[in-house]
Amino acid sequence: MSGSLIPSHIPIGSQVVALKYDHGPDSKQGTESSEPEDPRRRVLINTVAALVHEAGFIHIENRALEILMEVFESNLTELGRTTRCYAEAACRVEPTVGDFVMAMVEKGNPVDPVGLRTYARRHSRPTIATPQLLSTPRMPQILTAGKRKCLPAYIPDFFPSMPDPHTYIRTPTHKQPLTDYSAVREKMSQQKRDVERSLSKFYARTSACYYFFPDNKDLFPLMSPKQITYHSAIICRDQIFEEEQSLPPINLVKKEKEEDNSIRLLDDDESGNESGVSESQHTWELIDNPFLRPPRPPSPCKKLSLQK
Amino acid sequence: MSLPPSSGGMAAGHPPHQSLSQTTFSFEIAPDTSGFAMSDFLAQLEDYTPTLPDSIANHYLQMAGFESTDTRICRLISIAAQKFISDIANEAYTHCKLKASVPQGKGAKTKVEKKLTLTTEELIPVLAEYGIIVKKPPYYM
Repeated sequence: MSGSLIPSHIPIGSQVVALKYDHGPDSKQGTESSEPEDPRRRVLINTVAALVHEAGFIHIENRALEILMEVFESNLTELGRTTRCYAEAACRVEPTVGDFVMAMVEKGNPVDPVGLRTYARRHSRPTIATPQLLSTPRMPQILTAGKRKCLPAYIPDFFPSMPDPHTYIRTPTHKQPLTDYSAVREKMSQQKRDVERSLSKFYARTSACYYFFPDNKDLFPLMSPKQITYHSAIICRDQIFEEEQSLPPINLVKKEKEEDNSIRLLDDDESGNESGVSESQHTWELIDNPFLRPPRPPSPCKKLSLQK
Repeated sequence: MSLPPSSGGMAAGHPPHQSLSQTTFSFEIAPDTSGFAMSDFLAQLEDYTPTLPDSIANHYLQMAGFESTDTRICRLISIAAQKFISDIANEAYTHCKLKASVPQGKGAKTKVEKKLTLTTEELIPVLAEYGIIVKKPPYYM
């Protein structure tokens, strides 16, 4: 079966009868009209083919089938249109049998109810299966959060419903922070006291302590000042924006020199000396990897030059 | 002037000597049963399933502007259209059989099979009898 042919198998009644659609002698293969994409036209063609097969034909020419299909469609449309016209001419909206009879007369067909009845009741009438309707794809439900509120009384019902409440209702979840000086100072001091207390307790538990009163370990424990690496992280400091903190160099593979945490100003010479010092004093190898070098913060002098 | 229906056959002509005012004409008029029978047939259409599915027929009728809540009228129109096509097909088949019955030679089977193909050449004269003129274009596009 070439691509231009109409499907050859049409179930008629209980038997599947193969109908071949032959090409005429002057028709060219592959240039005929392709299978109609409209499913309704396809059903019409199937119906016409079934009726022709019922008449006794085994094969039908493609062009002949199309002609008959067009005749069928125009016949159906014309009868419907004329019936409607006659109903409207009689000032009615609902067509009746009389309108149909008049339409048949208008068309020139004999009005033969007996013939129609005989035709309708014939045993050999073929049946075409009703095409199944595809269900419309269900739109994915938009996720809704919360219950939508009803429209206010002054808005009519045909307006769209209100959106999700979170889109237009804002509930403040926190209080406005206190900005007055005394409250902030008090809070800071309280926080400092709490941190010192918890830190001393932490030290008492983690590092070695000398207890003045062995019976009561909570009273006056003498803690050895053991430096911990994350010391700077757990102590809260006042923020100083003007001076910059120096970062420990990380360009060495092995242990690094103990960094002096005291705040100091960075100068150009010092930054130069730092690298020089790192090269000469450290015993460990310096990784000459540019990606592992510590970030060099911009010097204040450079900053001033930029600002100019 | 009223035309009373007569029960018998064609009535004899009036005597030539009677005046026109006394002349009565009686013609055979078939009882007008079409309307009655059609509405009767309409009542039977509820159980009938036509060859063409109702949804397709309704679609084409709606395209033409015909809209009815009564499905029987739609089925009636569908049946009428189907009958039209069936009549054409039957007549074409009769023509085909007549043509096939005349020559009978070798390879009759293949010839018969070939003859049972509905071609455009056979269809066109049949359609012409029904008032549909189909003309082939002089050139093939």
